[in-house]
Amino acid sequence: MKKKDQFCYTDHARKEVIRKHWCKEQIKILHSTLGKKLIYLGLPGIEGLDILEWIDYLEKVIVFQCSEYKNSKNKTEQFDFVHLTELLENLDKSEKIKTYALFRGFIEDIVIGGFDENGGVFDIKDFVTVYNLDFCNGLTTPRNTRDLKGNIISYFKIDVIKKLVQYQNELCEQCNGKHFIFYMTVHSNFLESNMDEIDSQEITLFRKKFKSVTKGKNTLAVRDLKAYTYFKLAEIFKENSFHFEFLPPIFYQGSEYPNREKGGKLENHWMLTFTILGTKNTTKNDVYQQDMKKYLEDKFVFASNTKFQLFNDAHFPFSENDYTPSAKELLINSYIFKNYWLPLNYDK
Amino acid sequence: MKLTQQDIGGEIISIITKGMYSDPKDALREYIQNGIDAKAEKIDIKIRPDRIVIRDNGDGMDKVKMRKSIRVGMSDKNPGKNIGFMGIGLYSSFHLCDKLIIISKIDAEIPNKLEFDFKSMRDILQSQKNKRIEEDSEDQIALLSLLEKHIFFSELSNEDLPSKGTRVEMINLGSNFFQSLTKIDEVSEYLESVIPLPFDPEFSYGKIIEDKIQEFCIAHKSFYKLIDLNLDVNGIERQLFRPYKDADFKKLGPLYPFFKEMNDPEDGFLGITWGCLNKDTAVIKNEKVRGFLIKKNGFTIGNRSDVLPRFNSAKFFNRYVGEFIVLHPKLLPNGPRSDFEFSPLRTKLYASIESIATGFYNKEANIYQEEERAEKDLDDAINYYKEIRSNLEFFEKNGDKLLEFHRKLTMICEDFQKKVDTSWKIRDSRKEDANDIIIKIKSLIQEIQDLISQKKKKKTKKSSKSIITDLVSAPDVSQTTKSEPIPDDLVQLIELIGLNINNELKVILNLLDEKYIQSKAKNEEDYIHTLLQLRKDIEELFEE
Repeated sequence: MKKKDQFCYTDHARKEVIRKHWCKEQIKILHSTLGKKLIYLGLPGIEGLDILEWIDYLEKVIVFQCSEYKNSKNKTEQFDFVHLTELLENLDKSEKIKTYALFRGFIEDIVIGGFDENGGVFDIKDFVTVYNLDFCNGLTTPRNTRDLKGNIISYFKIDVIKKLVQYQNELCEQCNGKHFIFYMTVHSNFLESNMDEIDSQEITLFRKKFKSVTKGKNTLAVRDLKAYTYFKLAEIFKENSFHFEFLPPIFYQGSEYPNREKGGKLENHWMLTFTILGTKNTTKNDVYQQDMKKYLEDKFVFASNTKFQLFNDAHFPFSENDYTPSAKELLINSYIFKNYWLPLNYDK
Repeated sequence: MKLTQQDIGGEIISIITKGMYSDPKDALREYIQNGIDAKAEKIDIKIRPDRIVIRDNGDGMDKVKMRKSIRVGMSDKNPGKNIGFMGIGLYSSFHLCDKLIIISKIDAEIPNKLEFDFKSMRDILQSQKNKRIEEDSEDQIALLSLLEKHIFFSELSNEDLPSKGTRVEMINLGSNFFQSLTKIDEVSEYLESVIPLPFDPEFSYGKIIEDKIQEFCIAHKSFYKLIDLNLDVNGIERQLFRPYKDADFKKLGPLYPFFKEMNDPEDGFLGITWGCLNKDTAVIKNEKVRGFLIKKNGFTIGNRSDVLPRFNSAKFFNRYVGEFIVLHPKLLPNGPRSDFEFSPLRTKLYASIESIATGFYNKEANIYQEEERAEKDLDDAINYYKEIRSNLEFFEKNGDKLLEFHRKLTMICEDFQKKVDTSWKIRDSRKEDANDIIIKIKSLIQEIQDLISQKKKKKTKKSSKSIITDLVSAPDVSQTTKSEPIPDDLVQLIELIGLNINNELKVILNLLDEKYIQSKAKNEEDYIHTLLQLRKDIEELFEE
């Protein structure tokens, strides 16, 4: 069923390293901590590689698969959808998962609009324990669509995340859910103008410090994206009363893709994968406040085809914090794990 | 006469299934029936964007059973012990989906798969039909050939289906069917009304009814089984129950259920019925569960409106929720499950249902209604008594109020006495309350009567001397009444005239006196004067 000639942004060596040696390590710990299988929500791509990799720890998967060419003669996306359906159906049949939900279309349209392209109603009744939002473009890239009056409206990934975290908050009590891991992957491209939205003195100072002396456009952009993501997602988690903690993001080279604007020339994108640990705040106290300055000044994790190492950026003339770039170490030394997860069932 | 396989055309499968399964949801029922017949305890229905999956944990089918399941109109099943027995249910999705896949596994064997290419079968039949219309073609595929070419058997590995049981997949449903099958509420409602499901935990008498049904079934060695059914529409899961809930009744909830055996003098035990009456004397709030259903081994036959005529009127029918559970092995449902197959036994069953409906359910509802009314009247009386009792102290100087209390209590007392003396439907548990309240009301009437009398005496004593003096010095009136006694009030005046008046009339006269004579008199003297004038007028009236 798999079409080898097809471009697949989730299927390359760095991705596999991240799936196997970063996410899976942490998912295993969450699974052991909770003492039960996990509920996954994500964009697995047509091969469902992340689901297959983590299958031993999953009970249910909630999946979005877009079909960009729905109205064109190109049947590729139709094929993709059937392919993914068969994959999920086989997992269900062979009792690897208990059940699944598959929504067709762009996650922005479905989560915000409430329906998928098959007319299926979007609803979540489960407390999600693993999010893997593997976006194939930038965090601030808008999704343009038309409303019922025909006006063009734009949805942003931040709106989707906000809505999903709201669902999560509403379902805590009903589903007896508290803890989760949130992975998000985006292009590292980032327009500086987006930083105008950020109202944080700390971030402004941080940027001022290196902006004038940093060499390289991407060097600045990736740090802006790191700060922007932290600020935006922190707002959402706080609003919904979740303790949260960002682990250092993984910086890596994405798959080669044919750039249409350059006549199909193969290019690479630099990608960032964020890891956030979350726990419902059940007290009246404020949610845990991570040391943002330290987080921003921590080095990136760099994923090669085989391993993780710290990213020593030659273009960045400031010293950043060192640490051991191990998925397991970072997780079990986190504040969230030590203070909220550890008293559970985790078996070291 | 010798026949060949060409004598049975493939079109037969299309005709039969179209006629028998008019609602796409009927196919779900058919595959659930097969699961129950295979002794499944649990069935999962999963509705996905392109398919419907029905998975049971029953005994499963080995190769031989699977081979037999393909047969059309032939079945090994015992109609008395199984739900399905016609040998057609497997094809119930013939018009719904493009492909039907059945995977089944029995313990200690690898699973096997049957694949039915319904789309190709339909395409062939349609194209031959078109040819017949256009070219008078005689091409018609035989049933055997049609099935042979489009049914495929294969062996699978244990990884494909690890646990025993059967998995049915209807793939690529027609969009019109799909629309109705993806609405979780619509599908739930259908399944909850037709499948033998456990009672909802929100129905407080569910367990009692279930135990009672089982008790009857054991006593009569009857087959009756419930199934745990889970519905999952694209990841949203719901466990299904019989559709009754306490909230369907009005605020008072359901009455303890009635039970009755359905029997026939010749054929014996036909089944059992239960019914829960609304405690409020009103219709059941949720119209979808209002009335009775007929069930055969838990599966619904027809619908509620079919049972209504057996009750003669909707009045009491709509105040119940209930079921007639038919268990006689020889009473068999027809293909579409809209009725039982015609037989003398069916006639006896309906006679039994009718007799229970009118002679038992309607009667019980009527008794309950009258008891409720009696109870309400009693409670009203008790409350009124209590109200007057507590207010008497405040109104003991208010003549109008005393008279009003007196009048109303007298009426209640007489009304109650009549009811108690005749056939009042008060429950035994309240009879003592009823007798007690009559005694109390009578005593209160007497108390009020005494207060009224005391009040009048006081009035008279207060000014009797001056009145008499005045009357003597008033020639026009005194001349007329000189030798006559002076009345204290209107009642006494009438008595002085010599007219007989009963207690009721006395009450009325007292009321008239208080409201229209005393209230208009300027003082005691004026009042006596008015009475004397009135006496004169009445006497003149009688003289005329």
